[in-house]
Amino acid sequence: MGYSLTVSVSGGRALSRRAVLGGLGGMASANALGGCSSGEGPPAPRPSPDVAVLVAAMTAERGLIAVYEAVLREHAGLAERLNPMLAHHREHLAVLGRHHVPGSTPEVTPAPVVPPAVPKESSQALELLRDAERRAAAARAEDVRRVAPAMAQLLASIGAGEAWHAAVLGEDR
Amino acid sequence: MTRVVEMLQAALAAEHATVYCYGAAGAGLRGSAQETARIVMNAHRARRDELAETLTRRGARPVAAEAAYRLPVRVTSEETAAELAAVLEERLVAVYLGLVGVDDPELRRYAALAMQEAAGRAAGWREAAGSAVTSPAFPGLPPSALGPRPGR
Repeated sequence: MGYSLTVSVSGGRALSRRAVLGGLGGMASANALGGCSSGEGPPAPRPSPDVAVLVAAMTAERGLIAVYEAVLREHAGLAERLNPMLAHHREHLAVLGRHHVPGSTPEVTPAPVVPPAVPKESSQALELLRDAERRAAAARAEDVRRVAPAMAQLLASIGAGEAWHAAVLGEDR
Repeated sequence: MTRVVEMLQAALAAEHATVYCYGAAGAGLRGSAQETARIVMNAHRARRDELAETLTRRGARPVAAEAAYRLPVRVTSEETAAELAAVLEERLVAVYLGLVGVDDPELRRYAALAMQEAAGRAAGWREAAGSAVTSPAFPGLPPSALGPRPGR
């Protein structure tokens, strides 16, 4: 059950192997995915905070992907600029999805994602994306308090990516 | 040394180096970029002091700054000065990721926000350097950390 954050750090990075391995020390205690209970009677699945946070983060990524796709439908000329960021969000969703065990509680029915109305002005459309990225980044920074350290590192990295996107989208070109 | 102290010391050491190297970056910049570098250097001084204080509160002796640091980028132009600043911020993203891995939830959040701040600045400096480097999908995480799930 668990985290795919298998770490072997190659050289040349500021992040020491020990730092990462230490960070992943939470793996041992992070097997709460899927939930369990102690005590008498049949074990009743109990959602761990990690699962709820993971599901919320996946929902946020689906929402971001929908906003990017909606903006690109309206402003095809932005594709070169936006496609790399859209690709990141698809990667985020894929990696988060590897941590989610279907059938684990809470049972997830992905909510239909309603794409937002996209402004006709491309500068306003970019603003829409920037705001969405900022909100997502802020949510990930809160998430890290509620999950095991290894999952926190994944979510923090995703949040940093979103902050990076927001900064890029905020620059005039 | 406990793990949390170790990660705090690593972040503090990185902030010491960053403050030093921003001096060189700022010297290579002009106008508003130079002013930005000055403001950002002060923000890193503030982080440095916060980290030192946190360590003191935990009964640890904060690591001191080195007398000098090797610049990761040689500054020969405004572009390379901006690139130096970008590299400094990118390093911090990775260093603070280590601090996100500690048991203290509030320190995790502090470090996650520091990562976001550094990532946003890295984006700005990359832009100023004229390098078309987009962000990595997972800033700070070594690619190997995203490998396939064990046992699959």
